[in-house]
Amino acid sequence: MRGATGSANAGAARATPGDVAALLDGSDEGIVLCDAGGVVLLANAAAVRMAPEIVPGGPVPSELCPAGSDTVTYGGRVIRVRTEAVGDHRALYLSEVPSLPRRTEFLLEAARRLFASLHPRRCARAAVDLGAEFLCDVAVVVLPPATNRRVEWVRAAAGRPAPEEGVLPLATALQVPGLNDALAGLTHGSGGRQDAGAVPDWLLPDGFGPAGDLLVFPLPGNSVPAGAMALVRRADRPPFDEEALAMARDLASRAGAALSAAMLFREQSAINTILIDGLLPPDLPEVEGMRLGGRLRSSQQAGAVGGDFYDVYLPETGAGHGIESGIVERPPLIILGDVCGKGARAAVLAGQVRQSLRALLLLESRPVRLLQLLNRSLLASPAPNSYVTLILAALREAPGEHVLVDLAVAGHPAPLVLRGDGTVEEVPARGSLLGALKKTVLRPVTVDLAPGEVCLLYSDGITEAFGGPTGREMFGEERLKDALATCRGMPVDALVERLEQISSEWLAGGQQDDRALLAVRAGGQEPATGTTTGATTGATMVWAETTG
Amino acid sequence: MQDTPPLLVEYVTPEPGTARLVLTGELDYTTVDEAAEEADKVLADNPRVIELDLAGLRFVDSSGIAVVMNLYRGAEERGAAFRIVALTTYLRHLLQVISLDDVFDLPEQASG
Repeated sequence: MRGATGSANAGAARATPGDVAALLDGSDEGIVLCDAGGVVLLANAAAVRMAPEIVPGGPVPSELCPAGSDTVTYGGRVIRVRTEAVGDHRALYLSEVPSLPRRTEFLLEAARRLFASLHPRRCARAAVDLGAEFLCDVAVVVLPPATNRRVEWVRAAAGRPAPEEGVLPLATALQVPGLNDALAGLTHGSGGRQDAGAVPDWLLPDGFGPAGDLLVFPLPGNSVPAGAMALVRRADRPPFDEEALAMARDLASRAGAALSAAMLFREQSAINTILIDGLLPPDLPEVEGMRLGGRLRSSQQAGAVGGDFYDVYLPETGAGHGIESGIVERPPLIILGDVCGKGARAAVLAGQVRQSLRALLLLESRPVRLLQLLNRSLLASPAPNSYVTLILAALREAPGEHVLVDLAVAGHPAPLVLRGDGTVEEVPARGSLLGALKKTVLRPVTVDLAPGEVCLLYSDGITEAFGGPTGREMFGEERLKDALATCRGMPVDALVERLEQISSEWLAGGQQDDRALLAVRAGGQEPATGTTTGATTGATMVWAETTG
Repeated sequence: MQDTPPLLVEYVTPEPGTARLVLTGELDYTTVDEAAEEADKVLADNPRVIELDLAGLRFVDSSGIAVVMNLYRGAEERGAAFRIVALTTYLRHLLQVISLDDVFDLPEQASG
C-alpha cells in the first residue's frame, strides 16, 4: 500500500485530495477519521449513508464509538465497527451486517403470505406465487383428489400476473412424474427431483418451452397430505442448487401446514353450518285464520352461536285416518325456546328438543303433557347441561276469527299479549325449566285473541340486552311492553321487525346475545300498514289452571 | 375498561361440613368454566350443606343457570342440603321466571 504516497520518487504524479476522496467514496466500507476529541475530520460516502448524522466538524455519534471493535445497532442498522489509531487520529471502519440471510427472509415472507387466509385456494395461490417469485419459473399446487377422481390445480408462472386454476381428471394429473407418491405424502427421486423430460403439457402454461429441472414435493398436512407441489425451471436456466432445494422444501412444509389448516377450517365451518342449520328457524307457514311472524338473531361472537330457537308444527296431514294410525288430531303448534350454552353443543340440544317434540306430537297434543314428557327425556339425556327453557303454544281457531292460544311455559319469560286497545298484558303462565327437576310444576294459560290481537313469544336476549344511554342498562320487560304497545295495528312481520330494531338500537353496537321473537296475530287478513284495528274487541283472558 | 376480572369464584368453609361458593361478577358463557370447576370441587368434597352466595352477581345467563342447577342436582343426589344464602333482586326475579324460586331454599330478603 505504499503506492498512494510512495510515488514521490517518480516525481511525475501525485494523488490529489480529490483522488483520495473519490477513492474513499468508492469503498463499500464506511470510513471516518476523527481527532482525539471525537470530532469528525473526514467521512466517506458509505459512512454518511450508514449514519447520516456524521458531518465533518461534528461529533461522532457515541453509539459508533465502542471501546474497541464491536457490532452496534445504529438507526435500525446493524453495523460492525473496527477502530484503528492513525497517528494522533482515530479511524472508524464501518461495515453494515446484512439484516437477514435470503432463506430466512424468504421463510418470513412465505409465512406472512401463506397464513394470511384460511381459504384453501387462496393458500394454494399464495404458495405458487411464492414459488414463481423466489424459486422457479412455474409453480403448481395440486390439491388432494376429491371423491370424484378429479383434482384442482393452481399454477403461477414468473412474470405472469395472476395464478391460473383448473380441474383435471386425476389420471391426467398423475402424468407428472412423482405426483402420485407426492399426493400420498412421499418424496421420491433425489430430494424431490424428477425427470424434467417427462413433464406433461398441462403442467406448463402455453409457450413456456422445454422444462429444464423439475421438483415434486408432498405438502405435508396434519395427518393426511394437503396436496402436492411441482416447481419447474426452464431449460435455459441453471438447475435448482442446494439453497433453492432447501427453500423449496421449506415452502412445501409451510404451504402444507397452511393448506391443511385452511382445509380443516373449511371442514369445521361446514360442520358448524350443518349444526347451526338445526337452529335456524323454519320458514313460517301459512296457517288458516292467523298470521305468524318471527325473527331470530344469533350472537355475533364467532363460534358461539347460541341456543335460541323456534319452530312451527302443523297438524299431521295423515292424521284422522282411522284408529290404526294412532296419530292424534291437534291444532297447529308453535314453540320458542332457549337451550343452555352456545355453539355446537347448544345446536345439538336444540335439534334434540325440536325432533323429540316432532315425535311426541304424533301421540300427544296437550301442551302441559308434552312439556312433562320432554322434561323426562331431557332428564334421561346423558349429555351434561341438558337444560331448556321453552314456551309451547297450541293455536286453536275459534268463531269470529278469534284464536285461542293454549300456552305452557317452562322456565321461560312469559309471553306478552297486545290487545286491540293497545294495552299490553303479561300472560301469567309459569313453569320450571326443563331437564332440571323430576317433578315439573306447570301452570298453563289459555289466551283468547280477538282479530288483530297479538301474542308475542320472546327470548331473554331481548330483555337482557345491555345498552341504553349508559351502555350498561338492561332493556328489560317494561321497555319491551312499551315497545309492543306502539305496534298496534301493524302486520305481524312489521311488528317483530320493529321490536327487533328497537332492541338493536338499545344495544347500539354492544355485544349481543341471541334474540328470538315469534308472534301470532289472530285473523287471516293483515291490516294495511298504518291502519289500526278496532279498539273494542271484548277479548278476555281465559284461565285454565292445571297442575302437572 | 375491565379493571376487575369478569368473575371471581371463592370456595369458603363457613363451618365444618358446609361448603360455600361466593360468586362475584358475571356468570355467563365466557366465565362459566371456572365456576363449574369449583362446583365440581365442592361436590367432590361431599359436604353436608352446599351454599351459594350470589349477592355479588351482576349477570347470569343460561350457562350460569346450568352451573347452579348442576350443583343443586349434585346436592340432591348426595343427600346434601342446598341453599342460596344471598342474592340480588335481579337474580330473585330470574329464578322466579324459571320457577326455581320454590325449588331453591332462598333467603327472605334480597340483599341488593
